[in-house]
Order: sequence, then C-alpha cells, then structure tokens
Amino acid sequence: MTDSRSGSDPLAELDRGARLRVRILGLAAALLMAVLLVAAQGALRQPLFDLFHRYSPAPDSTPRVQVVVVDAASLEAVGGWPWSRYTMARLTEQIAARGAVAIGYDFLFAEADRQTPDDFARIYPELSAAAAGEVAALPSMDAVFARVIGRAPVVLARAGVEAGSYDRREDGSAMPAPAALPPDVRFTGPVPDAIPRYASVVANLDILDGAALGHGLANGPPDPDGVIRRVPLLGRPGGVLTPSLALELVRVAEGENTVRLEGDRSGLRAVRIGPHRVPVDAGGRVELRLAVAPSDNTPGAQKVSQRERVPYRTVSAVNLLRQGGAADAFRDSIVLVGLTAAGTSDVVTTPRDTETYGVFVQAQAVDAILRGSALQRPVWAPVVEWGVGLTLVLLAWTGVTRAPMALVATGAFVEIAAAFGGSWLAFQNNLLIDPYPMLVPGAATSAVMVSLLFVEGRRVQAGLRSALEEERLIAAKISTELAVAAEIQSGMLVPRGELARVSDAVEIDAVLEPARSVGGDLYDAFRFDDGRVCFLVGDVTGKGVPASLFMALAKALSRSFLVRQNTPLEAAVAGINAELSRDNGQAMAVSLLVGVLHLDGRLDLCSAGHENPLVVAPDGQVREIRLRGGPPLCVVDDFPYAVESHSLAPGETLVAFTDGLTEAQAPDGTLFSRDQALDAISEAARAPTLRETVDAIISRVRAFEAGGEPSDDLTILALRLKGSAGGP
Amino acid sequence: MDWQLETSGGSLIGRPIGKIDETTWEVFQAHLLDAVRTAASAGSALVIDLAQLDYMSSRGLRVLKIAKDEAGPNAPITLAAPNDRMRQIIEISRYDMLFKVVDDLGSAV
Repeated sequence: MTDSRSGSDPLAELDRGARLRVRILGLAAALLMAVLLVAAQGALRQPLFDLFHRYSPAPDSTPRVQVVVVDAASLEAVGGWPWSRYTMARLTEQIAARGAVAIGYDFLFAEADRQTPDDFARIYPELSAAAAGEVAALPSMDAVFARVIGRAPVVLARAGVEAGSYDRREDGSAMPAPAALPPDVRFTGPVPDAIPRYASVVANLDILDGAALGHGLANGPPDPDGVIRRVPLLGRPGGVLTPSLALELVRVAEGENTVRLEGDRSGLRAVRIGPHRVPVDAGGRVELRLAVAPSDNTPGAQKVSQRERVPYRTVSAVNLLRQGGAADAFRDSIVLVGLTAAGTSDVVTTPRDTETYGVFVQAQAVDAILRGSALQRPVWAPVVEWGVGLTLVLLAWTGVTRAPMALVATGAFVEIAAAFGGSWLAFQNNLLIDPYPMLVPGAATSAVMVSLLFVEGRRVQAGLRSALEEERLIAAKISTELAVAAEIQSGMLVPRGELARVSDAVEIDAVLEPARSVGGDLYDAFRFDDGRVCFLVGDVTGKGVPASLFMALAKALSRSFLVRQNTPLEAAVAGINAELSRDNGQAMAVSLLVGVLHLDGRLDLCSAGHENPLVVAPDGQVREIRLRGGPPLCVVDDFPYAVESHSLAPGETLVAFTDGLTEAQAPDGTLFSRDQALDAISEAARAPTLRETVDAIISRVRAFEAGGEPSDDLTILALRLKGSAGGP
Repeated sequence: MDWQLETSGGSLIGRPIGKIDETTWEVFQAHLLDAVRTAASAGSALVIDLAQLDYMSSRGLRVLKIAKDEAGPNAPITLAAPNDRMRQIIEISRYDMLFKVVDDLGSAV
C-alpha cells in the first residue's frame, strides 16, 4: 500500500471497475442531493434565513409608521370589544387631528353597530310612541362613524375568503358582490396567475366602505409552518385585482392613484407606487426584513410593555381617547390601528417573534414599501448557487481522493465558512442567497467517494490477503510435495545402513546431502554374484526438481545397465549414455564415475566428465587416480567411454565425490580449495570407521561453509577392502 | 556476467567476464549463440577468451556444447587462455576432448 500522505492517488490503486463505481456514485450522490434540494423548495435554507432574521435584523425602520393599539388598558377603560362605532369615530378623529396622512384599521366593521337607536327603541317598549319615534329617528353611530371616516384619510380592511372557508356564508347575504367594491386604485402592468385569488371577500358595512378613502386586503396567510415571513401586496377576490391594506395605506398617504406592476405573465418582480419600488415574489408578496426597536423612546409615545421590540412608535387607544399626546404626534405618519389585547385572535408568529400581533406585521409591510427594503432572491441567485455547487462537485470529484485529509478538511471548512458567510453578507444587503446548493452536492460527492474508497480499499486488501493466503497454501503444498519428493529420492538411494551389508569383503559408506530439498547428485553400490562390488557417483546438470527427476532416471538406468554381469563396463556406460541422451529435451547432462572393485584389489574405473577419485593410503597420503575419461553423459551421444584399470591396495580408502566438495563456498565467496579438500580427506581417513571418515569430511565442508547455504549437493562415497582398517 | 565481442585477425572473439552459473547461463547462451551465428555468417572462426572468466558451472558447459553443435563440425570453437580454475573445470569435465583449448589468445587467432 502506498501512503496516502505521499500525495499518491489511492483511487489509481483500485481496479477499473471499482474506480468507475467510485466515480459514478460520487457524481450520482451530487445529482441526488441536487434533486432533493430542488424538491425541498428551500426548506433547508428557510431555517437559516430565520436565524439571520433573529441575529441580523434590519438596522433601522421608518418613523412614518405608527401604531395605535387597542390594548388591555384600553379595553379596561372603554369596555369590551367591539367598541361602539361612536368610540371608533372619536378615536379616528383624534388620530386624524394629530396629522396622520393615512389611517388603517387592521380589523373589519362587517356588522352594524350594536347600539342602533332602532334597537334601543325596540328594547324599551315602555317608551312613549313619541319618545320611541324620536329615538328611532336619531342617526345610527355607523352613520356618525361614516361621516368621520369621510373626513379622514381612512383605509378600511377587507378579507379575501377562500372557497369553503367558514367566513363564507352559504346564503351570501352579507357578501357584497365583488363588483360592488371596485378598488380605488388603478393598476398598470401584467397580472400574473400567481397573485392569490379568493372566491369572495368579507367587507365592511356599505355605509362605512362607501365613506372610506381606500380599501385594502388585510389577508396575510403564514407559510406552511405557521410563520409569517411574507405579506401579500395584492390579491384577487372574485377576480378583481385589489391592493393590500399596507399598499393602499401608502397609496393614500402619498396621494397616488396608480400602482405599477413590474414583471411578466409568469410572475411579478416588483410593485411600484409613486417614488417607492418594492421587490416582490411572483405572486406579489413582499418578504419582510424584520426590524427591531430603535434605542430611543420618543416622549409621549407609550411603549406597550410586551412589545419592547416593536420598532414603531406605539400609542394606546385609550390615551388618544383621553386626548393625550402631542397635537402633531402623527404628522405625516401612516397610522395603523390594531388589537393587541390579550385573548384577541390576531396573534401571529414571525421569524423574530414566536408571538406578535398582526398589526405590527402590517406596519412592517408598510415600512418595507416606504423604504423599498424587502428581502429578495435576485434572478442571478440560482445561477451563482448552482454554479458554485457544480464547481465544488467537480473539485471534489477530481481531487478528494488524492488530496491529504488535512487539506480536504481545511478546504471543507473554508467552503462552508465562505458559503454561509457570503449568504449572511448578502442578507445584510436584503439579498437571499442559499448556501446549500453550493455545499451539499459537493459534500455528498466527497463523502460518498471517500467512503467508497475506504470500502473498495478494504475489498482490495481483503483480496490481497486471500491471495497471500492462497500463495502460502500453495507454497506449503509445494513444500510438502518437495519434502515427499526428497523422501522418494533418498529412498531411491541405498540407505547408509544397507551399504555396510552390500559386501562382506568391501566396506562401503556414502552420504548425499542435497543443497535444496531435492537434488541432482546420485550414488549407488551393489555386489555382483562373483563378489565384485560396483559403485557409482554422479552429478546432474543444474539443481532442483528438473535435476532430481533426471537424477532418478539416471540412477534407474545406471543400475539396470550395470547390474548385467556379463556386460563390459564400457558397454554399460555407453548404453546408459545412449538411453539418457534419447529424448533429452531439457538438454540435461550428468557426470558419472563408475567403478568395479575386484576382491583382489583390481579397480576398473570409467569416468564421464566426473571428478577423479582420491585414494588415501594408510599413512594418510592422498593420491588422485588420474582418469582420461570422457565428457559427461548426454554431451556426446556416442562417445567411446573406456575402462581404465587401477588398483586399491589393502588399507587404502577410495573416496569419490561430487563438486559439492570442491566447490563448497565460505560466506565470503572463497571456494574450498583442492588442497583443503585433500587435507580434509587425509585427516578424516584417520577416523576409526569408514562411516566416521565420511562424516568427518562432511563436517569439514560444513565448517568451511560456516552456516552458509550450501551451493550444491554434496555426495561422498568411500570404500575399502575389509580386513584392512585404516587409520594410525 | 559480462560479455564482450571483438574481431581480431579474422577471428571472432567472445569474452565472458565473471561467473557463469545457475543465474547467468541463459545470458551466456544467448550471447554465445549470437556469436556463433555472427561467426558463421562472416565465415570466421570463433574463439572464446576465458581469461577473465572466474567460474563456469555444468550449465555453462552445456551451453558450450550446444554452441558447438550449433556451429557444426566445420566451424570449430576454440577455448583460449583459461585460468587455473577454468582449466580445472575443463579438465574434470573432459571438455578438452571436445574443444581445442589453447593457453593464450594469440595462438588461437
């Protein structure tokens, strides 16, 4: 395994299929995340923007918006809600007298005043007919209120009603036909389908609606999670395009008649009224950038205790009814009147406040229009968001597998910080930039690729482990088979114990120590019926299994040729050569020394490229029997090997060997010299038995090798006539 | 093992340097058979200069024999200037019966 910290690509170490899997699934993860993000329709970003709302409110608010609240103190002083239209008329007069340029009621006057003179006359039958007539002839307080409304810049609310709503009455009795309530404003520009439609509208008493300067929809349905973030500026009750209460208040305050819609049939982009342009979504909703209360408290303006955070000057209705406050308290102001008493139904939730009153949301909407400071998703936002997202996906896709973990972690941190920081900065400028499309697909790619890389890496490691296990098994098997082969091979040789019993007259001993588990040396010894002893020592070219197989062949062939008593030795060797040379595909060769020791000491020798044997005299003198011989077997097919006659005197020991003796190597590479070999044999021959002589020679060789791996098989064969023990 | 090839006095001289053993005999065989073919095409005699060869195993000896067979009876290969060890190896294996062995390179070319 390469070290991932070295900067190599662990992906490159996987096979092609695994690499492809990692790459494809990395991209698939990004694609899946992108699809999920699109399907979620900003569900992920909304909590983030809510957080921004909480910790990064609009830095200021307009002083032109003020709120008159019908709070608990007002209800306590004036009485339960709804108040009589007389009280409402007085309140309206007070507000108008203080210089308000537009007065909006965030509630409806859909039903007649409860204290009509007619009702009063009916409740008291004891009144004289004259008195009852006089009472009944008095003007209703609705008429009084209507007159006040007619003199003041009042905008009345109305409510669009969805089909199937409880507010929609089955008989439609109190439902004015939409056509009967034409909007007071002229619209120009496109009217896309995205503007909310309402089946009908709940309006005020005709007498009041007819007197008011403006009419606006007070509808402001929250988002599906119950939080109000957006306020519609437009609606279409009964198909008639109608401004919202906030928009209508601004129109009345600015004395405008025309609202210009910007956008196209697919959706709006902005609503323009007089000098004000406010960005909206396709359906004409303004997304509020919620403000906080300014730090200074204007004298005379009473804060509602619970509403410390409301950024607008707020005055209790009862204060005005008592004619409190400065005469120009509402100069040039748009005044919203709403219910804030506990138990009223107009409690809403915003990203900033879990509970606030609808009238404050209306105030924020008016503020947004006046200052053109709504939050908006710029048209380029998706391009930037997905562009950055795609870039990061490609970066992760190409780089995450080869980058060091520290760099990946740092990169991820920087990306996250930059995306969220950028989104926050954009929010400061009333722009909504979603960081999730930038981050999530790339993060998915990284996570999937790193995880898969780990998994695939483990798979590769497991594969390597099992391969190693397999190889070990094979090696063990081969080793076992070699051990069996070595056993078979050594079984082909006459065991040491049996060598001693080959002849009564000749003492024989031999040892073969293979350099590897199987070797290419061979020896043999047997007795003819006439008492002569035949022996041989051989060495096959090369080492290992091929040599051992050829050795087995040479050994078997030799015995079969030599054992024929009447075949001359040279003919036998020629026969062995011819047979071995046949079909010798491996181009092997074998050196062979064959000897026949007669009981009278005559020694017939035939050498095929083998080391000459040595003879140790009883006095330790070593002489070499020089043989003319011929090349190793299988080198020249029909070489005329000749028998050379020598003799072995009683007391003399003949030692035949292979090059494991003369080519034994010390750890430093020096070879066991011929002199050392002669010396070793001379000294070994002093041992009391032939067996000990052979062992002593081998010990000398192993001592010379000093524990190093033997370079070649080592075979020593020694024999002497019995009754002539050597050694001093 | 290293291998040098040169031409001198109308003979092609191959010069193995180092050891020819279990690990190097195949390289030696490739070079030597190449040299045999070169000599055959040039019609020149092939001399193997053994002066710088420290050791030759029975594998190497086999290669010599294969080269001799490849060259054929009319293109004798001469072994020249063996050191003591190589002379011993040649004597033990009786390859002096198969090849002409000369003491110095000068008398071979």
